[in-house]
Amino acid sequence: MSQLKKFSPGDVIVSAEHLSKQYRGCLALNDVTLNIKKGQLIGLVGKNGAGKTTLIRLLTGVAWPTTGHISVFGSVNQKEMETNLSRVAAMIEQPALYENMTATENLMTACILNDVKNPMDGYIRDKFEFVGLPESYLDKRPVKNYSLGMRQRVGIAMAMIGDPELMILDEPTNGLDPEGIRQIRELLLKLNKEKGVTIIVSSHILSELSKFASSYIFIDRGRFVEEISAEDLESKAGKVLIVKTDNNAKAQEVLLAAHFDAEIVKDSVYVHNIKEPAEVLNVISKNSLALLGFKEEENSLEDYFVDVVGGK
Amino acid sequence: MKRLLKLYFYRLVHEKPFWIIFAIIGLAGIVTGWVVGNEYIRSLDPHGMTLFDTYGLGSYVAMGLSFSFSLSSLSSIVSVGVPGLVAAWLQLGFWGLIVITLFIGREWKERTFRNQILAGQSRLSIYFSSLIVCLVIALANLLVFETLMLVTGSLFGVPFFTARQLADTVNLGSKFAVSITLLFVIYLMMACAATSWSYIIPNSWGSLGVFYASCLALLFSVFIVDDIATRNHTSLYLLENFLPGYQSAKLMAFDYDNAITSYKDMGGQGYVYYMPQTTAGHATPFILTTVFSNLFYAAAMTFLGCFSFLKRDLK
Repeated sequence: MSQLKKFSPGDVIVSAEHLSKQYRGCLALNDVTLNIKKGQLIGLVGKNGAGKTTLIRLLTGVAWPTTGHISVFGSVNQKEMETNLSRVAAMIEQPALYENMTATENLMTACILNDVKNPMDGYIRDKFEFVGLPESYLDKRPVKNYSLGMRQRVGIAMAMIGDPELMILDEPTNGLDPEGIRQIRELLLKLNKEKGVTIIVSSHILSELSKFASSYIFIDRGRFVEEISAEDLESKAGKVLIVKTDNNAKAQEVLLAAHFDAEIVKDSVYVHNIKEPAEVLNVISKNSLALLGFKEEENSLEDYFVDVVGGK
Repeated sequence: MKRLLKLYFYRLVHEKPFWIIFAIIGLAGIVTGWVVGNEYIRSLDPHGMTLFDTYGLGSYVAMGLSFSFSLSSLSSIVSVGVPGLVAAWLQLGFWGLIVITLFIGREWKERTFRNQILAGQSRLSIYFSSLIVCLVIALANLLVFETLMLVTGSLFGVPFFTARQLADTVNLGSKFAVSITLLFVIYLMMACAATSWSYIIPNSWGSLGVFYASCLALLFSVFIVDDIATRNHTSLYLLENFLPGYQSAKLMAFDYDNAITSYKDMGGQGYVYYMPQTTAGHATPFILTTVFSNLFYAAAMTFLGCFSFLKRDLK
C-alpha cells in the first residue's frame, strides 16, 4: 500500500472545482467550487434543498458529479480518490447501521473495514464512552430498537473508528436532546482541537453551529454563496439597532434614503448591519423624529444567513 | 478486498435468514436421505435404487418448477444417475438464493455501502467481494444438502451406486466429475444472476422477484426463439442450443439418438423414470454448450450488475 500523503494545518485537503449535480433534470448543485483546509471546523449552511447533502455525497464519493472535479487529500485520479476516502468519515442524513446487529457489532464492522487491530481490547468501549453511550458496549439489543438520538451517537462513534482526518456530518444533532446536542458540540470541538480532525457539519440549528464553527460555507439553491470565517462573520454581520419613534414609517424612509438597511417589525424599526448606533440616531434626530427608545443587539448567524441567501 | 470479505462473512454469521434457509435445506437433505432409504420407495426399483439413481423421485419433487426440472436433466445426461435428488436440492437451492438478495438488499436498505466506500474500498472490490460471498452461500447450500442426504441415506443402508454403475468403472469417475462440474457451473450462473439483480434493483424483494422471473424467462425464451425460427429464420435454431429451455426439452424428450431411458409403469399412477443413459461421445458437445452458455450468462449478468453499481449514485 502506498504511503499516504501528509498534510499540515492550513493545507487544502479537499478541493472541489465547478461541481454540478443533476437529478432527473433538476440541478441540485450548480458550479460549486470550494476548498477545505486541514484543521477547519466548518459549518455548512443552507436551507432545506439548498444542496448541502448533495455536496456531502459528492465529496464522500457516494454519488458522482455530473460535471466538475473533486480532489480528496491530494488525489489526482479516481483510484487515489478511492484510497484517500479511507481518511474520511461521514454520517449522511442518518447513520448507516446494520439494523439487525448490536451497537458493538456495528462498530466491529467499521473496525474490520478500517483494519483496527484488537478492537475489543478497549478500542470500541472507548468510542462508546466518547459519545456518551458506555452502556451500549454490552447492550444485546439490535440497534433497530435504539432511539433516534442513540442511533446518532452510535453513528458518530462509528465515524470515529479508524481515526479519520476529516469528518463530514450531516445534521448530526438530529433527534438529540439539548444535553445530547451539547455533548456532541463538545465532542466535535475536542476532536478538532485535540486530534486536529477537520470537521464539516451541516445543520439547521444555526445558533448551535455558531457556538463552535470556525468558518461557514453558505450554499443556496445549489450554488456556493460565500465562505466566511467566524471572525469575519462577527465583524461583517455587525449589529442590529432597534429604534422606536413617533413615526416609524417616516423613520424607515429616511434611514433607507441614508443607505441603512431598515425594516419595520411590529412597533419598531430594525436597522441591520450597523457599525455605529450614533449614525442612525443622528439621521433620526436630523429629520425631526421623536426618539421614544432604542436598543442594540448582536446580529445572529440566522440573520446573516437570511441576508446572504436573500431570504428577506 | 480482504477486509470486505472479512466484513461480509462477519455479516453472514449475523444473518438470520441465512441460518433459517440453511436449516431448511439441511433438514430437506435429511428427509430426502430418509425417503430414499424408505423400504417402499426402494421397492419400486427392482434393480436397487440408489442415492444417485432416483430420477423419478427427483422429477416429482422438481415438477413444481420447470427450471430445476431442466437442471435435473442437464445433470442426468452425464452423470452416473445424479439427478433425482440433486434436482430436488437444486430446487431448494434455487429458492435458497433468496439469501443472496436479502444479504445485498440489506446494504441498500441500510445504506451501508457508503461505509465501505469511506473505508477506501472501490465499488469493483465491493461487487466482487459480495459475489464471492454469494457463491459461497450457494455452494454451502449444496454442500450441506449433499452431505446430510448422503449420510442419512447411508444410515438407511442405501448404496451410493448400483451394481451396473459400479461395473462401468471406465466412465464412473469422469461422469461423476463432469456432473459435479456442471452443477458448479449452473450454481455459478444462478448465484451471479442473483447477485447482479441485487445490485441492479436496490430492493431485496424486487430483485428477488426479477431474478426468478428472469430465470423463467430464460427457460421459456426457447418458445419465442423457436417461433421466430420457424418463420424462415432457420439460423436461429442454432441459438436454441444455448437456451436452458431447449437443453431441457432435448433431454426430456429423451433424444433417442443420444440417450435411452428406462421407466417403470406404475399401473395407472404414471411412470417412474430412471436416468437416461448416454452413448459415449455424443454427450460432449451438449456438455460444452451447457457449460459455455451458463458461463456466458454468468459473465453477462456480472457485467450488467457491475456496470449498474459503478454508475449508480448511492444513498
